[in-house]
Amino acid sequence: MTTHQSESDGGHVESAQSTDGAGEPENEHDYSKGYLTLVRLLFPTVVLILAILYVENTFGNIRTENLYYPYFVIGLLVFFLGIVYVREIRRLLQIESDEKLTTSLRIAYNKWQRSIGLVIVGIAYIFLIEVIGFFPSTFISMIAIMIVGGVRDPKLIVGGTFVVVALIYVMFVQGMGLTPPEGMFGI
Amino acid sequence: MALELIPEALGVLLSLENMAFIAVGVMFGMVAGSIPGFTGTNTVAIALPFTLPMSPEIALVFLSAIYVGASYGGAIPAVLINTPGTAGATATVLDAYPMSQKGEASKALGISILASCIAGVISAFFILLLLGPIGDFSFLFTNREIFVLGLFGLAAVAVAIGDNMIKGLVSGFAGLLIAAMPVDPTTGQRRLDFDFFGLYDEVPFVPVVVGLFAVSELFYLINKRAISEDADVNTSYGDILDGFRYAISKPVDLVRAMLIGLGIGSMPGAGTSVANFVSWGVAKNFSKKPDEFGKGNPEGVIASEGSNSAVTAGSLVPTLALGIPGSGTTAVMLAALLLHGVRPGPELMQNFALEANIIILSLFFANIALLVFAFSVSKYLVRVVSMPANIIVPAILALTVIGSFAMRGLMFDIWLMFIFGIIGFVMRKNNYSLIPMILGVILGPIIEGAFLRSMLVSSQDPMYFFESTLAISLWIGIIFVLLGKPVYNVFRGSIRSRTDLFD
Repeated sequence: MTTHQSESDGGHVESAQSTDGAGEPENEHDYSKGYLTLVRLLFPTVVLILAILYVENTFGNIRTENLYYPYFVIGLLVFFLGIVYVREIRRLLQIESDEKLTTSLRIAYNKWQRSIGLVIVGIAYIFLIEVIGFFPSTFISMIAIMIVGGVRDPKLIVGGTFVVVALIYVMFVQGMGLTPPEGMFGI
Repeated sequence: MALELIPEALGVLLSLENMAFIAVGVMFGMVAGSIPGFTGTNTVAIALPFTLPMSPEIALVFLSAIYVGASYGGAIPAVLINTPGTAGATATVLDAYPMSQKGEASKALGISILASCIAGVISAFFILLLLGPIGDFSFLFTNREIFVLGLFGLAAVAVAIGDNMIKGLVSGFAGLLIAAMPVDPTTGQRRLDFDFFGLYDEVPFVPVVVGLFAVSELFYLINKRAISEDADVNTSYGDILDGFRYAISKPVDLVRAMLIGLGIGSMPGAGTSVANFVSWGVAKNFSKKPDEFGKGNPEGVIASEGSNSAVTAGSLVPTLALGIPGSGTTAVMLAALLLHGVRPGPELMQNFALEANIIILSLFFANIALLVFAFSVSKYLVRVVSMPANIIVPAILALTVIGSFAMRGLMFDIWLMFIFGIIGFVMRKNNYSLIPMILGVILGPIIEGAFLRSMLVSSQDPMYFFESTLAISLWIGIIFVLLGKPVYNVFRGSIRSRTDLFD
């Protein structure tokens, strides 16, 4: 049986096994401490920076009574983040790994290269929408994403793209009256 | 009493257009739920922006129909290719696939179809009876109780969902902070919008929801080639009917599974994955043939599918009554409520009791539609399962782009959706639950508004939040929820260490 998602979380079961989209369990000893530190502390650090920026932007600029709520949230958030930092750092200190950061980055790249490709194509897709409009950019990007995803059959690529774009046009633009984003040339 | 609203609710619901929406929703949910990698939550998240042109009650009916369809849809690959399509079908696999291996795939499908439908219909009836008392209870909530309730809901969901309580709380409070980034609601002063016009007066929750759930899923899906290449399974309608007959012959098992699903679904954050395993375990304990569980005992399929169908109705109870999602999918449906101008929380039952009745009544019709469609097409849906995921990925990305743009017509929302997709991926890789963040973003403005009004009423007296029995009960609930699990773990550890001494 393939381990799979927790619906209550809207996605993958949170275990080392099933968060790996490639279907293999991740062993933290395969990675360097530097890499694991980067990955594990990225999200809490970003949240902490957001909290600091919030206080910096609001303290003294907004009357105190209106800051009770957001600062109450930030106070608790920083407390929970502190616990997360302590736990993650303790866990990281227990890991013994001889791997180098560059090696770990290469392993991660090899494992997630399609996902990285999707990020790059996705960013390009959204930029293109602003230039040439939704339908032309969707056509191009769908082809690019299928190639990134490993599809090699040209008939499937082009045919599938045509079908999906046509369905979107018929169902959502004509059927539901939704207006897709237009590019600089009004397409 | 909410029962008085039933005739009016039926009058709204029983139109050709609404029945068509229910039918389409069930079909869409069934197809999506049968694709492993596509949970009901993701499906509802993708469909959410497309409900914009619909009226509020019909939008919720449509999304509920998708939920019903997806809850069953997960059983199809569970039976046919040993892969649960959704988390609610994880326990289904244990007995349904062995049945399939014995040549009883159609019977297993038939059992799962009828167990889902019957449990879904009966549980909807129970919820309908409960709506009146829930509505009366909701009148006790003022701004003070709404504020504390919001914190309780966040804590309950953060603890119940995922493996890590503290990370769940970080996720939830990060959501509250994000929701507090636009202008101050009373003074109009800017807080932290990074000079983006798109964040000036609100954080648009549709791109956030779609990004966190649907787009983050794409970064996993693109790494899969085909879900399964084993799509060649023989099924027949005659054997599906055999499955129907078997399910009908086990009324006690059905009712038990339904009650477990209803009870667990009503708990904030519990969801289908808990319900179907609990139900399976209980069925095994009560079975005359417990040794056959896990080896193709049809009672196991009844237990799992009956309970996960009842969770659909059960999870709507805390969602509609208190604004606390009973599952991941209902967390997204909270966003749908807000999208259509319906404030989630206790006030919903005061001001939108008719809409709540319409939503619950629609579950009857959705389950009947499920019976018809599931019987007709289940055996063909296995071909969907074998479709390469990297063809589905670009199609879904295009849908999420147009969906995120639909609400405000801003390119900013598309960028926001994609950024939250990346954030969602990073969070899931590091064991941070997404649901509390969604809840924080959706409920943040409501909680903040309730807090500010309470402080105004009380002349800035913080003790005001402890001056009602209901508020105090909720504070005690928060402490219980936060401390319950760690205390239980310590207690269990000390008992275990003492029993070791006697080994």
